[in-house]
Amino acid sequence: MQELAEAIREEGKRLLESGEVDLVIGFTVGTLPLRAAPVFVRRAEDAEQLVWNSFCENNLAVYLRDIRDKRIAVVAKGCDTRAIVALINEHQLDRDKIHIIGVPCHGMVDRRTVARRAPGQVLAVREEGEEIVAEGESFSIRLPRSKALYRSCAACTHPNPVIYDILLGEEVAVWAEDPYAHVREIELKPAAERAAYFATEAQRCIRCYACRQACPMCYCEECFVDHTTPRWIESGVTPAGLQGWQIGRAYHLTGRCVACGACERSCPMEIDLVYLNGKLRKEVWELYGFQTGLIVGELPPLAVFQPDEGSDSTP
Amino acid sequence: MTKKRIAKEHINAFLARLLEDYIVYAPAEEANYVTFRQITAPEEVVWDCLVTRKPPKDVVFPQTETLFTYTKDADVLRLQSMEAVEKERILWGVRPCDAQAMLIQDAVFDTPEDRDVYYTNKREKTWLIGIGCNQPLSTCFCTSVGGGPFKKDGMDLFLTDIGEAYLAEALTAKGKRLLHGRGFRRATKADLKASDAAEQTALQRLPAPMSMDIIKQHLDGMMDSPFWDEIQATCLGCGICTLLCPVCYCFDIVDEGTTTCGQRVRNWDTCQYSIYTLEASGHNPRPGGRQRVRQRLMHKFNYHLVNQNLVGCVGCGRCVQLCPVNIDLRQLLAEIGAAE
Repeated sequence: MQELAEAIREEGKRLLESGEVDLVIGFTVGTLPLRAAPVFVRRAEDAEQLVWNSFCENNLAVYLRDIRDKRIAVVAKGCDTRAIVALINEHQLDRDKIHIIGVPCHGMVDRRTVARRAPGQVLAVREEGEEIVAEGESFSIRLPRSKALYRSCAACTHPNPVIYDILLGEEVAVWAEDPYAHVREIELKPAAERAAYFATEAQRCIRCYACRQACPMCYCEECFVDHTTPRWIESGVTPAGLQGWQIGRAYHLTGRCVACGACERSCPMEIDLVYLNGKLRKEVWELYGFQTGLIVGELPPLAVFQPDEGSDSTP
Repeated sequence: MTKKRIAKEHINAFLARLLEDYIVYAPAEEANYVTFRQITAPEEVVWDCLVTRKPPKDVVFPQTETLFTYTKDADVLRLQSMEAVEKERILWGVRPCDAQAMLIQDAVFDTPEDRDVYYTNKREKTWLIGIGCNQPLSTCFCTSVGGGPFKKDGMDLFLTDIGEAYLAEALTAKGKRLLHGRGFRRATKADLKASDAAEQTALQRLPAPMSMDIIKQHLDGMMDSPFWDEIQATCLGCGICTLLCPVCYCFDIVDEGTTTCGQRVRNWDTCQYSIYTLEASGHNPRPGGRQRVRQRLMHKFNYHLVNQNLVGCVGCGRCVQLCPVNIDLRQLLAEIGAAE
C-alpha cells in the first residue's frame, strides 16, 4: 500500500511538472482516523500530499464533469473507472482530457464498522498487512480487512481499473463470490416484509441528497426532486415524499449504476442503498446481461432502441 | 439552585416516572447508530453517546411540519391550524452543546417582535434534562464557541456523572419540581467535589479555544477570497452539514394539495442547495458551490454575531464527523483565524 502511495505521488508530480495535466485529483490524509479526503493538487510540489490507503472511499469521477477547461489526472479505482466509462458513453466526458491513474483496489474499509466494533472512540488507525488496527485511549483492536469492507466493496466485481492511461501496482484477484448476495437475501423475504423493509429504510432519510451528490452518475441539471413547477413528489419527510425520492433516484440509475457504493457511504442515516440500487442492477444483469461502465461505446440497455425489438404484448 | 444526588441504580425508576407524564426524547438506538428520538422505556437510553446522529432540534422544529390544512367545499373555505401540541415533552440526556443550540434557535424564533407560534408552542412545553460530558470526543470544540462540557444554560435539570451516582442540579423552578421522589438524597460535599473534578478533567481534554472574534474579523474581508474555491473544489454540495447541525434553522414553506383540499407545509431547508436561492425569474444570486460554502461559514461565524450577537455554531462536531469528503470545520476555522 505504501509503495502504491509513493507511485501515485511520483506520477502526480511527473504529470504536473511536465505540464501534461493542470490538475491531479486524488486523496490526501484525512483529519480524522479512518478517513482520507479528496484533494485537488495543482502544483508539482504539492503532489507529496497524495496518499493511498483503505479509506479512499469516495468516487472521484464525481468531480470530473464540472472541470471542463482543464486537463485532469484522476486517481481511479475499479469503480471510479467504471463511472468514467459510463460518463464517456453518456457523452459527459471527453476521454482525451482525462489522464486516468489506474489503481487496483483491495476494497475500502467501512469506517462505521470499525467504529462500531471499537469499545470507545477510535483515535488512531493503521494497516498492518491484511489487518486494520484501531486504537483508543484504553484499547487496541484488530480487524481483518476482509471483514470490515463496505458492503459494496465486499460485492465488488471489478476492483481493477477497466480503463487507464497508466496502471500502478499489481492487478488484484476478484474476491466477491456472489455480487448480488445481499439483494438475494432480501428478495427471499415475503413481499410484505420487503415492503416494510424498504419503508423503514426510506423513513430515516433526511433528504440531504448526499447520495445524489456523491454519485458520479447523478448529474441532471435539474434533479426531479428539485423541480417545483410542478412538484413531482411531496416535499417533506413523509412516507410518500421519502419513498418517492428513493424510488425515483433508483429508477433513474437503472442500467447506469456502476456499483461503487458512494451513495451508501455518504448517507448519514446509513440507508441500505446497496440493496435498492443492487436490485435494479441485478434486474438489468438478468434481463440484458449488462454491467455498466465496462466498455467504451457500449450503451446502457435503456438508452438503446431497436425498431424490431419485442414488447410486453408481443414477446 | 437545589443539588441532590441519585444513585445510578435509581435513575431508570426516575425516568420511568417521567415517562408516565411526559413524552420523552433521548439518545437511543436506531438502525446502526444512536440518535435523538422518542423513547417509551428507560432501557432504551444510550448513556454513553455524546453526539447523537440527529440533534434534538426536530422535537421543537420538526423537519416537516404541517402549519395548517384547508378544505374548500362549494364556496366555503375551512382552515385548520396545526400549531397546538398538548402533552409536555422532556429531552432526556441532552448535552450542553445541543441545549445551547436551542437557545440560539429561541433567539431566532422567539423574539419580542416576532414569535413563531409553531416553534414556541412546542418549545414552551419542552423541558431539558441535561447531562455533562465527562469525556468529550476528539471532534468536540464547544469551548471555542462559548460552550462547555458542563455548561448548564438552557437546562431545567442537569446531571453530572460522579461515578456511582449522578449529581442532579435543578436550574429552573420546573427542574426543582422534577427533582423529587424516590432515589434522591441530599448531595454531600464529596459529591460536589467529584462533580468539579469531572468538569476539570473534561475541560482538559478539549482543544485550546479558537478566537471567534478574530475569525469574525477575518471573515469581514474574505468575501472575495480564493479560500472558498479551495473548499468548494471537493465539497459535494449535499445538505448533511446543515441539516444535521443543531443550530441551522432555515426552512422553506410549500403548499401541497389541490384546489379543494391540501396543506401548507414547512420543511427544513439548507443554504447548501442551489434551489435555496433560486429566484422565480431563474436568476440565482448564489449560483455556485463557492458562494454556498462561503454562506455557511459567513452566516455562522460572521452575520450571526452581527445579528444575534451569538456564534451560529455550538462545537458539537456533527458536520466534522459526517461530511462525506472530510471537510473539517475545525480546520477551516483554524485557517480563517490564521489568515492574513
